[in-house]
Amino acid sequence: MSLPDGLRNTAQAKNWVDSLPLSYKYSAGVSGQRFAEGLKQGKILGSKCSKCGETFLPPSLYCPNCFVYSSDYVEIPPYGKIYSFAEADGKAIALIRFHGVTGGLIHVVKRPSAGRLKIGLRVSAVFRPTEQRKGDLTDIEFFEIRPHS
Amino acid sequence: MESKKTLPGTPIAGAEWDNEVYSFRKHSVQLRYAWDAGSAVSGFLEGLKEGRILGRRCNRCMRVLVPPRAFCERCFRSTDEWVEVKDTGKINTYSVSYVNNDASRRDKPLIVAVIEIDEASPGMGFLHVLGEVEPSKVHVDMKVKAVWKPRDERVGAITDIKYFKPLEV
Amino acid sequence: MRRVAVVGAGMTLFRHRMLETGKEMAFEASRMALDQAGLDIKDVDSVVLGSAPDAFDGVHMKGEYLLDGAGGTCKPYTRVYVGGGTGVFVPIAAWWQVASGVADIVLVVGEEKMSPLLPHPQYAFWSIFDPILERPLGVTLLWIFSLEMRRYMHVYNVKEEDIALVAVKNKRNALDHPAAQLAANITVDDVLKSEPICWPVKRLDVSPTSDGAAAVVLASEDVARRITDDPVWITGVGWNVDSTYWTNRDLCYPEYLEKAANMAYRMAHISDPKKEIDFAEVYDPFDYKELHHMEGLQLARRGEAPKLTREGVTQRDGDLPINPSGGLLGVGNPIAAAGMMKIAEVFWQLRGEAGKRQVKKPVRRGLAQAWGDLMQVGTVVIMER
Ligand SMILES: [Zn+2]
Ligand SMILES: [Zn+2]
Repeated sequence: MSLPDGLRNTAQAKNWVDSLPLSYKYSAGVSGQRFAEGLKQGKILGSKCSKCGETFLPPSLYCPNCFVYSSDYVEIPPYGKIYSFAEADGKAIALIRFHGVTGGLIHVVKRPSAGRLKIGLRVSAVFRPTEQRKGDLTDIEFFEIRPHS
Repeated sequence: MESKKTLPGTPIAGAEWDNEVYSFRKHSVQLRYAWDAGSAVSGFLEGLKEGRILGRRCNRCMRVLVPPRAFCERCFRSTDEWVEVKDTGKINTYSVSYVNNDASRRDKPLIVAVIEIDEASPGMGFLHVLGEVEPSKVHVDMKVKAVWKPRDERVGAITDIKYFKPLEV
Repeated sequence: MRRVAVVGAGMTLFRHRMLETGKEMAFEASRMALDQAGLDIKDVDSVVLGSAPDAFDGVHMKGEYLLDGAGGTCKPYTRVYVGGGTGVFVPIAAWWQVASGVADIVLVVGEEKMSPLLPHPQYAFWSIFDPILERPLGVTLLWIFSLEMRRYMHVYNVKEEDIALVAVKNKRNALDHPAAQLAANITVDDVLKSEPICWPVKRLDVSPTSDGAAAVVLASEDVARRITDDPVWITGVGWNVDSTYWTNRDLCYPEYLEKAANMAYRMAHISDPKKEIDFAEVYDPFDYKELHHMEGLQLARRGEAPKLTREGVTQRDGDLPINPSGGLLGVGNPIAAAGMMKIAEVFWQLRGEAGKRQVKKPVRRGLAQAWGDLMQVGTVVIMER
């Protein structure tokens, strides 16, 4: 569609430049708070649904299948497997899944001194010293390849 | 509902929020934009730079639209021509703002108003601020006039009009 | 068109800040609504969610983010949005689906988490204004409300005292609401002496910013008759949007709301709303808005709402109770959830489940209304027992 005649020549199209600076403070939520407290204690917590029996990581206040309150928070052993990984800026980022658990964690995997990263390798969480933990995912410093995996 | 003594939810008290007794994540973004003014508003801004207020006329409903637009939203057709209108008008409504847009308090209250511009169609006007007047002296229907920035300070912006001031004494 | 019933309602507390994430609040309200209806998530055919600008929660694609909390995973799911009018628009969008036969059971969810935005949620509203003609002036959302309030006061010669009566009534009504954030016994004098924010708007004329969620379940007539002895029917819906050129409009009368209301009244076969509507939950983010909206809804003649308020007509034991819940001024204003709170209140009132909030006269027909965007949208739902 063409512009009306009177408009076409009158003015140069203009840009108006401005910015919208936004700052946020997000609460972790009820289940996120439990997860954060677990990490501070060196634990990985998931949530369990008594109706369907599924365990979820990160934990959720409710079961996404059954849409009922989760019945329990359970400690998940810090041993998992690389489900998939990507490498960027010299770092390896992996989706790590845990046996019998739906979901998983995205985290940094320390490269093995010999050999290459592979899907399916077994990894374990290395927590920071207690006094350095802040109650977030960085309380796990990285995942490392377990020997003989 | 009344059988449920308490509803779900976990309030965070002010001190709990400030002292961060819960786990929080903070994040900031700085979004920058370049908005196209479009043909009609570009012309309006050019006019402001020259110290003139421009509108567009729709030759079907004969309304003079201020601020100008490329199309008449009632007739749903392109507008037809530019019209220069006066830089005077009357106050449709006004208020006195004690806050900034982030809800912080202003140092000095600001009088803001919707001004119906003379020679535009009835009810046509725009938002601006008032100056050279005390809040208690302002009233609805008061006649006002634009106070322009000096020519060399005008950049083609709504703020090329510094404020509107009362015409009456 | 098929008949559509409301069969359950639920909500969270409304508070300035909540620990729950938006998803968690959406879940809690939805779970409560499903429990009241005696339904499982598997029974739900479709989900409609309402939430205001993403800028509050600070999560883009907020609809998708909230999906699993609203029970929408792998279901036909929609997010609808008409600014502050959203809360009463969500059930309208769900009504389309049941009335048309697309779905038998629809979960309807309103969520808002305003607290994350720093330093104040108010700041997000800056981005709704014209970036070239309005933002350079330093515009705030409060400006447009106070400009509208001033115009209303001027045209009908309304005093600030009369408007303050609305805040007094609603905050007192909210004392009986278990979700309420700002319930209080205050006086007109307290309102008049409260800190001026943007005169004529003062601190106590305004509803707070809030976190919260509310939900209802809609069902077709067949389903409703099967699962409940006490369905509440949606008999009229209406919505209407005016231009964003708000400085070119009549600011003292909401014509768009009159049109939305008339659409709903026609559908519900109502010819004299003042006589035929038993009580109403009208949108009250500011006290003058209750008066403005009563007039747009034609529950009062133009300029008459302050008089009705003064005479006690709009009290819970009056002839036309308005906002027996306590409204946004008393219960809180998590935008889309606040409109849904009104839908839930009409449902509970019609079922006689409002407890201490129950209006005195017997009620058969109630109305919920919301309003928003750049003072340009009206959304209306009429419900009957
Ligand atoms: Zn389950
Ligand atoms: Zn026209």
